[in-house]
Amino acid sequence: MTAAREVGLPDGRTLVVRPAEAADADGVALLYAALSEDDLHLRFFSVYHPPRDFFARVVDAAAEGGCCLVAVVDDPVTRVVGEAEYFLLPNGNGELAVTVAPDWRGWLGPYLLDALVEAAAAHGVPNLEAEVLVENRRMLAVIRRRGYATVDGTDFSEVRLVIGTAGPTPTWPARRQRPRVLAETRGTWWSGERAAKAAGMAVMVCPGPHAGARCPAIEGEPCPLVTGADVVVCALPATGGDVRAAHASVHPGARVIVPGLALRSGEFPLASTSDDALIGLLRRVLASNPRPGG
Amino acid sequence: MTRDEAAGLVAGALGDVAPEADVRGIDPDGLLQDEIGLDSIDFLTVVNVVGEQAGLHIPERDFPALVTFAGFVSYLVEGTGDDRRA
Repeated sequence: MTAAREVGLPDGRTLVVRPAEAADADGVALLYAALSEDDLHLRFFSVYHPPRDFFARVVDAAAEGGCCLVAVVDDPVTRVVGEAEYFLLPNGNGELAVTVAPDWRGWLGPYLLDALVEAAAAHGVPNLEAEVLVENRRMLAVIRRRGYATVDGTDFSEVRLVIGTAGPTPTWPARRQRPRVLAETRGTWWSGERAAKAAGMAVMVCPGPHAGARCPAIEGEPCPLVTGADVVVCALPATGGDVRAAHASVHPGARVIVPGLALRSGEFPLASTSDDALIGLLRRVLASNPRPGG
Repeated sequence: MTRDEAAGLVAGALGDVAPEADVRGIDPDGLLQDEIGLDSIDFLTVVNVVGEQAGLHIPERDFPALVTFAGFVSYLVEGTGDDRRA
């Protein structure tokens, strides 16, 4: 059972974040009715006005193994000012969405996502994913503040991001179907993603340490993205903590490809930025024996 | 961190994200989003900058404590373990 959170507001009112009930469908519908066309476009990738059935399903997400939380406040009648939900995906993760009333934007969106992450963790859902339009700067900012990874950045108009629910980073899906490549690079996109996927590899892209999010490897703890990967391509600059040095001490068995030629023990040099060179090296490294501890 | 130090930190970050706002004139107990029109991106920027400068990780769960200037300052003073009055 997901616990409710109560927030005392400066004006004396109380905001409550709690699991949605069937009776909240009208309140959630009113929340969406207050959204602008731009907001609807960012939420649905089109100016879509959902029918009544949509809201009935959202507030009943728990019936499908998901979760829907609503933020309600007396204003002066009870009003739904935010909603966060996830529905289960075939890979065991949840597909998340967060909607906040225009006059409540600021702290509530990240707070609602935090409550949703907590609820997902309590239900054993390891990660939450979101397909986000690149112009949706609000949602990107909220997700990027947490430890996140990109699972699909091959389309430059939208990106699929994933956050973990039980730790500072997301994890790989439970079922291993393809060789796993973790690319560590600043930002959301990795230039080799498309080629690696075309070569039959699963790819996740980690931005490394960034504002608001901690990097377990830098802090001397194993990172599940690294320990679950078959090979790591580390293209992070040595700022804000040297991730390559952290791998050497925390993940001594990891097979790490680095651009250039200045190598630590156990690293593999990538001398060219061409896709052919990358895929060739990835295949050679994947065919090599994992080092002890990997 | 003293209250004055914390207030300076928060005011500086607010001034950076909202340079047109009169940060000195805001009601310390008013909602920052109403006082100077902070949206979610501005809010997260301020939290990240202040957290980094104060050496504090500020989890999302604590965000309700940061919705007013006075609340933000108190949070920093308590979080840094020093409530000396300057």
